[in-house]
Amino acid sequence: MSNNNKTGVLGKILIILVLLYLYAPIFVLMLLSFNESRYNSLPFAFTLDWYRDLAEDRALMEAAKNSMVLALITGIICVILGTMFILGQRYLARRTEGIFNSIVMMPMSIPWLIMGLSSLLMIRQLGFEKNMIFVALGHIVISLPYSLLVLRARISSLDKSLEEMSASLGAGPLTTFRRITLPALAPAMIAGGFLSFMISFDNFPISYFLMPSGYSTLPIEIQLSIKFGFTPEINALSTVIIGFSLVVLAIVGLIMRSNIKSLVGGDN
Amino acid sequence: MARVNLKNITKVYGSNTVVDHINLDVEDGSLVSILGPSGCGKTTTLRMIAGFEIPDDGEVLFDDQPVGRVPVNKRNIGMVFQSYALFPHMTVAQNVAYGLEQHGVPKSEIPGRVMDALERVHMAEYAQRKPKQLSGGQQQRVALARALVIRPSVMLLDECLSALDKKLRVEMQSELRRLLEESKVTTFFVTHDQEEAMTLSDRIVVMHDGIIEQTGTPREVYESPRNRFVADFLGKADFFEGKLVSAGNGIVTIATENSELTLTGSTTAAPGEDVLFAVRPEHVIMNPAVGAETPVGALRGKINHIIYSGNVISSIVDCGGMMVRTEATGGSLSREPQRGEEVILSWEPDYLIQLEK
Ligand SMILES: Nc1ncnc2c1ncn2[C@@H]1O[C@H](COP(=O)(O)OP(=O)(O)OP(=O)(O)O)[C@@H](O)[C@H]1O
Ligand SMILES: [Mg+2]
Repeated sequence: MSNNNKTGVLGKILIILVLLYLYAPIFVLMLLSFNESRYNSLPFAFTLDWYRDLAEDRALMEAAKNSMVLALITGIICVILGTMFILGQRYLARRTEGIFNSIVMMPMSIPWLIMGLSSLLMIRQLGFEKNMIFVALGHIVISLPYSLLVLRARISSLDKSLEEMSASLGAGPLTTFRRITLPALAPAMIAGGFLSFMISFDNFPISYFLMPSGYSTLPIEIQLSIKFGFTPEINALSTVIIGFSLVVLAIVGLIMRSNIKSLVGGDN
Repeated sequence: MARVNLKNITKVYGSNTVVDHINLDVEDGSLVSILGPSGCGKTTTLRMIAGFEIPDDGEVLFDDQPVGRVPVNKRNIGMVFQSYALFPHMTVAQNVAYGLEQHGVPKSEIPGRVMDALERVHMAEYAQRKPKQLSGGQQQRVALARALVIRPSVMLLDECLSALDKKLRVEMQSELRRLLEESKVTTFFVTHDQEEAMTLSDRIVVMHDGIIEQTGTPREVYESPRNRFVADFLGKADFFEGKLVSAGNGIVTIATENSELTLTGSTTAAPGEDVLFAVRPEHVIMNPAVGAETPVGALRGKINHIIYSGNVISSIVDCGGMMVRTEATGGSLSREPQRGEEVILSWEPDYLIQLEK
């Protein structure tokens, strides 16, 4: 009995320590975004000044908008490419499938720094100017594997007999895709898209190397502003981003839950 | 509603010939069971009829028309898979309606036909449920309704009852039989359960290693199996193998490895030929041995062990090293057999089956 109790208390302490380790920095940051002191010093005095500053900071807002658009485009294209890829893969021979797989998943195991640098060198060699399209392409290349991971897990559990059944009931390939395959893949498409969105939104090295002058993204802008003197504005911005991620995550979670409930049905 | 012919159809995976030049003619509206051990190519055969697989050789004909170039969705088939494959994101009613929509049935007619089909499988009150809210037997009935509602000309059922427990399976068998007879659809029924094949079908096709071993009515296949595999796969059998010594007067004498056996029955083989005979255990009559004489054509032995399985009592009799199985329905025995008892085994001449060597 007492032994059991001890392990129980110990376990709880351990869990609290792990949670602190994971989330304390974020929590402190969020707290400081509401603190009056410019130098993050105590005592704590509540203010919304930094949020006001943030809203008025042209450069930061522009960068935020760029990041958002870039991540959105990356997420959407990754989902489309990823879906096409895993669907096409089912018609390939094992060997070919393996080769294609390695090629597409490769960027996951190459440091982004090197990806960014080598892309820059290649663009230069080919005589192109840096532009946003290359940035987007770079982001897509590094984010695609993450979408693929999620999609692949889903499709491997997707029963091929559902599509065959649809055909036997008279449906052509397009109808089968629209009414059977797509609904089954939808949760994974949303989750995969979100993951790619986040990878892109977060990315510093690729953007840093490929971004044409006059443009910037949030990670770049944050890096710059830290270099030239830190303001709690960044804290406020980070808090907004965290809040935004949590909301998106919650929405995705809700969609997935309801979708999985109705979709996965029998296969547990 | 269609006559189906399989002409030399063959399927090869790599170096593995999974279905090997199969020929089969199936009458319009009849129910054929494809029976065979796991991996013998039953599903592959069915999938070629459906159009999911393209035969590497030979062709499939519906009403004498080759369907090689007809895609699955134009073949007008009804399928039920072992896994049922109900669409998980649709309700029962939507599942059943799906095929009707694809066949261009007018929207106004669909609800009526869906309910009609569900009523026939006693699932009407579950129309608004999702598949995962149904039991295995209920899902199976929905799958059946979904396949039947489009009035297919060929019905393909792949071990669709095997996931059910024994009692439900037997219930579903008779229900299935009734449904299929009502709709008069040509049906292929794949199973590896011989009892199911017997009770359900007009004809049985016994497959083994990609070839057809025998086709016939359940009675033909059971009572006159062609070879050892069929005799063994459908029911149980005692085998007697050896060189024919003589035959005549209702007695067959064969030389086995270590002795000579006289068996009641007749044969078309000539003396000196290798022969193989079989007797069904339920045809073997077991009597206590009185005196030292063994009647000609009978076997003498000692009961080695007894297997009690409710309605049937099987005695395994040791006849000089050869084990012979006998079966009696519980009620028909005048007294319980005893282990170690000396017995005489005999049968009517017609029950000795000559098999191909
Ligand atoms: N797509 C495939 N690729 C390679 N081999 C296959 C394929 N499909 C089936 N086979 C092989 O073909 C053989 C026959 O398979 P099939 O599914 O027709 O057997 P079955 O008679 O239906 O068996 P079961 O009773 O277990 O369902 C098996 O040995 C199987 O391994
Ligand atoms: Mg099978």
